[in-house]
Amino acid sequence: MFENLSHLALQQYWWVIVSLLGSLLVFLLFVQGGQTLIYRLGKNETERTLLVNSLGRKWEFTFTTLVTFGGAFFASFPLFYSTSFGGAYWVWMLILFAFVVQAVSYEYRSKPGNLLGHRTYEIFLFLNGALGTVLLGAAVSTFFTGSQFSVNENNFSQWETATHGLEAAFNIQNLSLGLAVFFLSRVLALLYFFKNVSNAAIIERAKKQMVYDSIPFLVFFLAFVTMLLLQQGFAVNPTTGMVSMEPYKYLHNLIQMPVVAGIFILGVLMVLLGIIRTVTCFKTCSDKGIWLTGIGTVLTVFSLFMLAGFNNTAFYPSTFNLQNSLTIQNSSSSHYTLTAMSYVSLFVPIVLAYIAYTWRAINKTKMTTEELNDEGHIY
Amino acid sequence: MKNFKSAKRAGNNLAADSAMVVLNENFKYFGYGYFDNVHDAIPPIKATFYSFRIMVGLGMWFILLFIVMLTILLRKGLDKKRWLLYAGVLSIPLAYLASEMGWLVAEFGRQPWVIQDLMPTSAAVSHLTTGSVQLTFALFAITFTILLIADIKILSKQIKLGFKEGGAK
Repeated sequence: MFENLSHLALQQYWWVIVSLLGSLLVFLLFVQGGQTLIYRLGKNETERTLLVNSLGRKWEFTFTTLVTFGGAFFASFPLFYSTSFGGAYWVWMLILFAFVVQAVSYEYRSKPGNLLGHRTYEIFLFLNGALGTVLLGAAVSTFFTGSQFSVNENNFSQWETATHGLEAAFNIQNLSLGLAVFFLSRVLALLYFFKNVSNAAIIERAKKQMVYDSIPFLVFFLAFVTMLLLQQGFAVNPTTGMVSMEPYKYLHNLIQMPVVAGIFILGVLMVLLGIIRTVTCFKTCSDKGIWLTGIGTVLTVFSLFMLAGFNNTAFYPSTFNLQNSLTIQNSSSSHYTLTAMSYVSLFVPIVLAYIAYTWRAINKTKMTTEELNDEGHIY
Repeated sequence: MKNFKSAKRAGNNLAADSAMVVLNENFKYFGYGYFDNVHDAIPPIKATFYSFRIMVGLGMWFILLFIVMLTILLRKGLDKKRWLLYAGVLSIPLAYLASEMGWLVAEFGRQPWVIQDLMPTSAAVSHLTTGSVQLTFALFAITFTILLIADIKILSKQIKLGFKEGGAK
């Protein structure tokens, strides 16, 4: 079946899978957003423990999706992986450390004799939430703004700045997407708490917090989208493979790919509708916002990945040497590898069904403080 | 490969095809082009030799220990053999040691290749400064040492607290 597809078709298939995983990851970053809200919403130890346990039941979903996203990217587009991970080294190391401390913080936080005290682990959770979202957002934004690297004729890549990726965080457009992801993750976390936590005081504070996080999210997201649609993009000549700068490239991509434009507009509308309905009809709508905004997030991020990689666009542009930019054609695995991986990808729906099943089982009832006392495994 | 790529760039398909024939004929020796000296193709023998034997030796020890344990357990005398129980507890870290030795066999034994005959490790490493790698190593070492101490403290505390109905608290 897959072996009969052209190399380009397989590359496009895998770009779609990677994009889907990336967009699911951004939705699941609500765990990180929630971690940055522990002290805003929890004013005593019991309330904070309730919030941590509500998130603690989900953090592994995010973590596994992050690893799957990275793994799928590595296997399908290895030249991107070696260029970015070997080059933008310090950004990825910071992200890695942020996730190392997250994993242990959930397990150690409430255990007696945990050496550093529960507050330290809560700070670790905050750091993971803040660094993880901002840096991942900024890293994805470099798909549109480019990075300083070179790739030689033997496909060996080299980063051309001494800061090894940290410079990406000081670009206004990258920072805008990073902060948009940060505030979006907090909005998603609040919507998740409305659905998952039963505690009047927390919900009341979360209701106010919705406004404080939605406004900066909208400001940074709109700033990023405006810059994206007005900027020059990295166009690839489909015949020669030469890369050149094209004014309004991503706006052109949106116009030339009406399906992607439709997904993008639908996604943004769903994100906004989920937020607005939650704020305006709180009593009856508050626990439904997570699905509207969540699905909207997946659609929006998915369409951004499509803009970055499709329609003759370099998805990982080199600003050091345009001709070293990575496209889905010049950075992918071989036809054989992509074919073998495509057969494995047929199991993805089974994995998704399993995740949906476990999610439903975990989420059957809202979390209460009483439940914490009956729970054998407290985070 | 260089000839193939430059011919492709120039649009000379004939030259590209002939370069590809040469490449395919020699592809199985591709990685050897990175070596200046024949000795570069030999893995570190001593490290591989000893780590393999330590791993296998520990595996044999575990089999023996489990046979003795099982035999005495079936005779219902295990709780009276304190020396055997101590041997069991003291063998716990040996399992980690065996696992690490296995990794050393795999990683030393595969040298100098990351992809056998195609890409040596020396060609695959990132272009990072030694200082960056040293700093990362130090950060990992400090972080994981602190977390290990915390882990041991938590485990010791739980052992002292003992079992509670409904799970540990």
